[in-house]
Parts: sequence; structure tokens; C-alpha cells
Amino acid sequence: MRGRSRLSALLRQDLLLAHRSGLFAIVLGLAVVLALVVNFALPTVIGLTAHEYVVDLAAGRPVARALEAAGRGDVLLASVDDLKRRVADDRSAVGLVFRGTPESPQVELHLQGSEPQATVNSLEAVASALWNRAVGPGPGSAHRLVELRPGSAKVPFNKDFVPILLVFEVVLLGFMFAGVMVFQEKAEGSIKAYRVSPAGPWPYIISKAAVNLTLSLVYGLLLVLFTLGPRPALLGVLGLVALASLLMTLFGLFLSSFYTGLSDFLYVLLLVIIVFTLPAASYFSPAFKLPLSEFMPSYPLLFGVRELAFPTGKTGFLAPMVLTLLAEIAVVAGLARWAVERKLLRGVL
Amino acid sequence: MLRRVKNLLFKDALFAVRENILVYSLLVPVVLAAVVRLVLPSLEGMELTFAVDHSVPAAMVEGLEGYGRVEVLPDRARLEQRVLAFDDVPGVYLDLDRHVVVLEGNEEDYVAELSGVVIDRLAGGPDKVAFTVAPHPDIESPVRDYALIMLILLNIIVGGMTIGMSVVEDRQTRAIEALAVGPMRFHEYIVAKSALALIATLALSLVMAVIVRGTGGLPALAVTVIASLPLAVFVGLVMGYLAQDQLAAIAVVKVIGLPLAAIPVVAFFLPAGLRWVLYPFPNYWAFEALRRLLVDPSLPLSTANLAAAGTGLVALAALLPAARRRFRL
Repeated sequence: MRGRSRLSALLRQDLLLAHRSGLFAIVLGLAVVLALVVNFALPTVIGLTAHEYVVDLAAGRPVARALEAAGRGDVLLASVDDLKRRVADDRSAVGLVFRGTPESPQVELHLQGSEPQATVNSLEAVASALWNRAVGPGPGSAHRLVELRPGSAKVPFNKDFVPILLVFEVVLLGFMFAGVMVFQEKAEGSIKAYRVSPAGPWPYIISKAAVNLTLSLVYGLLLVLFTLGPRPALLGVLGLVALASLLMTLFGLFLSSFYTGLSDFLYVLLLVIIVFTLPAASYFSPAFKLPLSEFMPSYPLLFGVRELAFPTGKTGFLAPMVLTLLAEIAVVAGLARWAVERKLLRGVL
Repeated sequence: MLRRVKNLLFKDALFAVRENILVYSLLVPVVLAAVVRLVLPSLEGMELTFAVDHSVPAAMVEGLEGYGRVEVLPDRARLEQRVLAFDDVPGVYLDLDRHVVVLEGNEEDYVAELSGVVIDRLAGGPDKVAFTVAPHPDIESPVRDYALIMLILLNIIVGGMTIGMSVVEDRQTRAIEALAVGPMRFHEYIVAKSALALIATLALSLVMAVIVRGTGGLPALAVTVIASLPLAVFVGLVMGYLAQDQLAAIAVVKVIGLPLAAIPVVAFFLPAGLRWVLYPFPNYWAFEALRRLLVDPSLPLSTANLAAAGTGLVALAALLPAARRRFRL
């Protein structure tokens, strides 16, 4: 009972500190600003692939006619000079110039010069397919396409951005604030008062984790409500975000125990945030994965939150993800307890 | 005047050494640049990954390696499991002498199109089309340059935060009140607080450039970074002005971090005709100057450098009177 009252006193104190520092107001303000950005500033569609331009100088202009018939006349240009200009002006553009006759077609590739060989080969394959389809009947397709889960709807780009915000804004909130709460107490000397009290490390850790979890949940809830609206997946999304947030809060407590103040912790904080956010590169281009991405908690988390927010029917991913997070939380909680007790409460490390 | 600035500067430098701030401030940007250097080859050579099982002939596997990475899996079940993973990896297997491309169903359109086109080309024998490549400059990928731009911008902002944290520290420990009753003047205080961080920001930006891109063009890069340094002082002063303790400082970082990070990203995607809406922001000009220097040398660099310095100094000048009142120096 005494332990419980100590915890509730600590919790009240930390909540008051968070409130006085304007953290709840900031979370509300950020949620509103980010919701405005998602709803009104971000486009619904964005092109992340290379721009391709085509000039057809071949006899009968078969490729140009086929592209126009397919509604892709926008990629056609009138002259090679125009194509060269576009490729020179746009570092993500490539060009194809078709010449010759149906019997001996030629294609000139206009590249930036930095494309890897695999991209050049792919461009040749695309040009070859364009020609074969245009002059048809070609050799016929050598493959059959099978979709394991057909009919998965495409999510608008701006809404698809919400899982990014949930993982890199909301989840990292606790990591930033938990550490700074420790430094604040060090600077004000209240940690010295806590040292002589009979309370151990757990009430201290639980109190900080609870306050930051509350902040993250308020932030996440507002963000989802303002951007995606109330939806059945909300509970699942917030549950996953809460677990990840708890993990990062505990990690923040563990790491910050080794630093004297925000001035030196700031650099480590930035390093962790940047490494944690690297898997974002794979989010909008899932065909490409950075090395070691699968070992970062943010990689599966990003896709897990996306699947919960915009279900495509994928199954069997949630239980392993939750179990992994719980195991990570158990390990990091143990580390946080060890660091808080040794470094903050006894000051022996 | 010089002695007062020097004394405060030495005091801060000693504090930075004692608290390991100097070590972290020098080490972390270098580690970051090394991490970026490490992942750059993956970003520059972004290529598709194909998953195949043992039914696919060796010649097809070898052919696919010319178009991307190939993962060979022992059976169909593992292949489908791989295709259903979070990333977009098309699977390929052979069924009754015909290749089957397996997709999850939610991939980008180009993943399905490209996989089919590649299989058709490899299975269809020699190409009828003769390919030539037009002469082109042998240039570096812009990914490397944009990665360096983002690192340098981050370094400038972190330099600003270091100034800000130092001011917040003075406010929290009330050292600033002690200085206020002494002969130190406001502008001397700002110079003393900023000098070390600005020198470190410049030096580290050059080190980052060497790690990511090599030694070419360092003098021009130094000029561009110097033109953007008023932005760092502005960021530091905003932090020092708004936050009276560390918790408030990190809250301020959260709030100002949003426009600081978003404006360069928006500038990247915004069509050229609409970029004028970003002209008042010094971090837009810092981004634009670095973009002109590293990615698009056809645009005048000196205009962007002048605009970066000008907008930064105007923002700073607007904040200084209010900061002077708050710090009572």
C-alpha cells in the first residue's frame, strides 16, 4: 500500500512537471499542425519512380501510336533535342528514342550517367516490350501472373503518411521526454531527495513510463482521429504504438542514465532517432530494403501499423510482432532498472 | 570586450570538454556521415529483389541477376511466404514449362510490370531490338548529394541547438543573472556562446562532405555553410529565448524541429513555380544554396548564398531585441 502511494505521488509529480513544461499543450498543438499538413498540404498521389520520355522516329511511329492508344501520350516528345533537354533538366529522367523499321528496330537510351547496370537492363527490357507490343503480334508472354491476395486497395499518399508520423513522431516522443525528465531532476536536485527515500527504482521507472505513455497515447489518438477519423482499427493501432512507445521510453531512461545533461545527450538522441528512422526509406518503396533494416524495431512496426490502419487482409504478422515487442520491453526494462539503480539512485557507475 | 568574450568562451569550452559534450559533438556527426556512407550504395543502386525456388532453371536465375538481387528459396511454400513479407519482392517459379510471377497483390504497379517484362525478355531469346546508349556525362547519383545536403542541414541545426542548450543551461543555473550584473554586454554574450559551435559546425560539415563525397569543392562548400550560419544562431537564440529549463528546451526542439525539417523536404517536392512561398525562410535558402552547389550548378550559387545569409540575419535581427530584454543583459 505504501509502495502504491509512493508511486501515485511520483506519478502526480511527473504529470505536473509535464503539464508545467507545456508538454500536453505541445502534443495537442503538434497533432493539430500535423493533421493540417496530412489533410491539406500533402498530395494524395506522388510519383517516386523515374520520369520516362519517348521519341518515336521509327517508320510508321508504332510505339507512339500504341502509347497514345493506351492513354500514355504524356510521355511522348516531338524531338530528340526536346528529350535531351528534359533529361538534362531533370535528374530523375531517362529517355528512349525509337528508330528503324519493324524488321530492324533500334533504340537509343538517354541516361543520366549514374544509373546502375540493373536499371539500364530493365530499361532495355521495357523498351523491347514496348516495341514488341506496338508492332505485334509478338512472341507472346512467357509468364503467368498470380496474386496471392488480389484486390488490395491503394491508400492515398497523404493518409499513407500517418503510420510514418505514428512511428517516428509518437513512438519517439517518450524516448526524448523520458531522458529529459531525468536531466531535469538531476539539475533541480530532486533525484538526490529520491535517493534517500525508501522507494526503489521501479516506482521511478513506472512513473516516467506511465507519463510518457499517456503523452504518446494522447498524441497518437488525436493524430489518428484528426487524419483517419474514428475507425475500428484505432484500438489495434494505438495498442501497437503504445507497446513501441513503452519500449522507446524505457530505452530513453536506460540511455539517459549515463549522461549528465541534455547538452551531451542531444547528440546521442539525434543518432538514435536517425538510425531508428532509416527504415522510412523502405516504406514508400517496399521493393528496396536498406541493409540490416529487419533488425531495427521501426521496420516491422511501420508496416505493422500500416496494415492495422489500412488492412489488406495480411494475417499472422501481429502475434509475432507483439511477442517480439514484449520480449524487447522485458529486456530493456531490466536494463533500465539496472541503470537507474546503479547510476541515478546510487551513482556508482 | 575581447577578453570578456574569450573568458566566457573558454569557460564553455572547458565545460564542453569536462562533460564530454565536445567528444559527442565531434564524434556523432562523423558516425552519422559514416552510416550514410554505408547505406548509400543500397540507395544509389536501388534494384528489385526476385525470390525464386528450385524449379527455376539456372540460366533464368543467372539472367535475373542482371536485373536485381535474387534470393533462392527451397520450395514454393517458402517462396510464397517471402512474397507475403512486408517488402515488395516478386516471386518466380516454373509451372508446366511456363514461368509464374507471384505477387502479393498490393505492390506498386511497376513491380508487376517490370517482373513480367524481364521474364519475357529472358525467356524469349535474343532481342530483335538493337540498343545504343547516347553519350552522357559520367556523373554521381544525386542521392549521394541530397544525402550530404540533409546531413549538413542537420549539422547546422544541431550547431544551433548546441548554442541554445548552452543559453538554457545559463538560464536554468541562473549564471545569466550573474553575468547581467557584470560588465558583459548582450552582443558579447551571443558571440561567446556561438563562436565555438559555429566553428565546429563549419569544420564538421567539411568532414562530413569528405566522408560522403570526397575532397572536391570544399572551399565553395565552406562559403555556403558560412552563409547559412546565421540560421544556426537564430535556432539557438529561439531555444534560449523560449525555454527556461531542459524539459522546455526539448519541447521547443519538437515544435521548431517541424518547420526546420519540413521546409527543405517541401522544397524538394514543390514545383519550381511555387517555391516563392518558401523564400522568407532561411532554412529554405540554406537548402537551396547547397542544392545549387552540389546538385544543380546551372543555377547561380551566390544569389542563394546571399539569400541564406540575408534571411538568417533578418530573422536574427528581429529576435535580438526581445532576447536582450528576456536575458536582461
